[in-house]
Amino acid sequence: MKRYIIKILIFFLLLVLIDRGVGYMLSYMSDHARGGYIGHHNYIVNDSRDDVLVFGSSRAIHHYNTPMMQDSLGLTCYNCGQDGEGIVLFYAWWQLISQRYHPQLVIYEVTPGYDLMAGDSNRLSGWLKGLYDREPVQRICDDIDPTERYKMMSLLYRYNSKFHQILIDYFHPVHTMDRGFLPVDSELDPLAVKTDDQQAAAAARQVMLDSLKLSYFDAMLDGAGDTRFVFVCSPSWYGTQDPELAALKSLATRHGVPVLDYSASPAYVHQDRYFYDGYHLNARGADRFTRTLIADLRRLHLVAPK
Amino acid sequence: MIYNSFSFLVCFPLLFVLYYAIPARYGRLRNLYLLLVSYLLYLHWKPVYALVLLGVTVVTYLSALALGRCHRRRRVLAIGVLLSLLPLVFFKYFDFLNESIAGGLSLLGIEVGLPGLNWAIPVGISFFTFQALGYLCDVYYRRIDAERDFGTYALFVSFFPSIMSGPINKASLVIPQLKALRPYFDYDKAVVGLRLLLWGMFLKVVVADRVALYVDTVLPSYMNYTGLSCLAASLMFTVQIYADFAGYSLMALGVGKVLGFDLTENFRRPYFAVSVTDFWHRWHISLSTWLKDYVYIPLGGSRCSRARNYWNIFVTFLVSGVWHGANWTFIVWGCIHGLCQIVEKMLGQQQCRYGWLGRGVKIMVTFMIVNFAWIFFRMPSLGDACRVVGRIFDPSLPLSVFSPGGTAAFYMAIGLTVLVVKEAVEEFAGARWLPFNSRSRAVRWLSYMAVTVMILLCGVLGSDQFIYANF
Repeated sequence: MKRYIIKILIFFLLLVLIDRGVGYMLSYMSDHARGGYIGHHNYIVNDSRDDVLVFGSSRAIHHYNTPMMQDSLGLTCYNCGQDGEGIVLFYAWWQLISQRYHPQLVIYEVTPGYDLMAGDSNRLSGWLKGLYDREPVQRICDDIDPTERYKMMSLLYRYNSKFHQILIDYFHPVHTMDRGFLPVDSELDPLAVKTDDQQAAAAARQVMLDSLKLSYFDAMLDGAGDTRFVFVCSPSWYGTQDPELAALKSLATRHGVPVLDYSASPAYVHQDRYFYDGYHLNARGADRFTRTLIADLRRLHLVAPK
Repeated sequence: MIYNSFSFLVCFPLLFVLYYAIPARYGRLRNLYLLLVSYLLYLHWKPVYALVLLGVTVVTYLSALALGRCHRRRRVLAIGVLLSLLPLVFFKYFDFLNESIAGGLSLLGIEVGLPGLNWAIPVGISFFTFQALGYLCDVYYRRIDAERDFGTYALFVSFFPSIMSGPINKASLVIPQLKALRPYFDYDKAVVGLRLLLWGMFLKVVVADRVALYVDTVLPSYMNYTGLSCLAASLMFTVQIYADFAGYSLMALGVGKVLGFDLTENFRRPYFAVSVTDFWHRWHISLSTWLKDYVYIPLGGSRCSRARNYWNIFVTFLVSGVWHGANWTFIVWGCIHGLCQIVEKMLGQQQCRYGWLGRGVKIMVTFMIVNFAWIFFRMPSLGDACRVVGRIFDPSLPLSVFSPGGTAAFYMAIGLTVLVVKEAVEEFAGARWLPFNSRSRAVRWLSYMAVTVMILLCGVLGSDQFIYANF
């Protein structure tokens, strides 16, 4: 028994050494990424000083042509969108950004699955774990799962499922984004559009809101300071409106935040040329949508050119 | 207990230390401790359902005692079996039977139906019920004596490493271990136990939960994907269900060994089987042994006419399908396996006598048959399963495959490569060539460390439930 326990202890000691060694190396490579996703995140969290920031999931990255917005508005704009992510990540990023400066405007692209609904398997974003040493991130991780504070003792755990991206972005970044914008140059794939039955099933779903996510929206708007926020629902091919948005709209009204809802805009509904799947605009659709958005931002006096 | 959860990592060392704090001479106290832990863990899930576990235990315990004293043994067995099956039928099959009967009657123009039960199924009910029934049948067939000590028997039924998803242990294997004065600590067994735990964890979090991300993207929305994508997802599911279930079984065996117990081996590289018959000698071995002992052989096994033998095989796999779940998809899945084995028996293709190339071909063919059957197992309805199969063979769909993205594909490739190499080495060269079993301590420790680091870096660490916990 004694030998068994001693060997287990030696194993864990060696594991801690490897965990620290590899973990510090990954931490260094992540902090010094030359570009790609990791470089994009480092810029958002540590260096951005842009006037307009766009938050949101893949619909943000592919829909908001930030170079065009920059040219039209005369303001620096950066697209902070991230695939499959929602308010948990963006609230954490907002906390870190607002420690440095307050942008003029934050455009938040709302995706109910990630921003409002309960049962999101990616509630605690993997991208946050690498930032665990930063105070607001620790608090958010603990909110989501109190056991995270113990798991985060392992540096390898912090870079779980991310080390491949870190290596690529350190040695040879592949993704090239223009002010965070990543247009998709492809036509609509008919297979990637939900059938009528699938749409009916989705529409009939029970509305299950995540109170923690809503509380993060509240906290973000409470701490907005000089920054103006606008919630946007960009177009979808289906033209349907998610029932969960009602909760966000009432929250926005409470905070005096405008909501621009293009989800059922007839200019886009069932317009194959603007989409590459049912939920995502292609480059042509993104350009058209961005022009519409710019006009609406001006109309609502949400931006003041320098 | 979910082995891939953080709470397991915290609880298990504590359970281990407390267990070994009890001196070996107090064997009954050790058993009492394990019984208490088993019930506490079960109560932790849904307290009221512990009564179901207790009920099945009491019924089979008393029935087995009655079998020793009563002359009407067959009647006692029938009553014991029916009473034990009652909770299983009620919780698991009530809705299915209700809907099926109502559907059948509606075809005749009779609209009758009871309201459905929207209740959770007691976790592990199929496993502990079958384990208890196996014991009862063994007593009936006089293979073992009825256990008089209720505590020992209750521990056999509720033993926490295997209650959730098996293996379905035979009483003749476990009860003697519970009754014997176990050595205080078996070092070699405990080392093997930790290896099994580590490899089981790898299978679950690095392989099963990773490929599940692909499967759960494509199959629920199969109408939005090409036939090749559906085929790829079905192949991934074939890997997922093996890694998930074998991972759980290995961890259950590992926990058992660390505590000094040997439980039933459940998997033996099933995807290297040369026939569907061979597959069932390698897949969920504890269930296939149970079905052989308590369904196939009592029906007459192979000591009867050919036609009767084929019927016995078919019924056995029909029961296997029904055991897996209350859905026609599982029944069709069981029927496919039963029919394939009948055909193999007719053609004399249960074994391989064709050399290396023939063996390779037979392994591939068996793999594809098993993969085809898994589609029925995975999909929520027969219609969905048939449509997935239809899409796979639809030549009008584009010949493109959904890509999960470079990063996801990279992590999937790591897990799959390690799994395939390990299984192939074990199958064709022998387990002694595996780094875990190396004579060199450095190699062994390096492999332990590499697997642990892969779990931490490449695993999906979200404590996802095991697939078979639903059964």
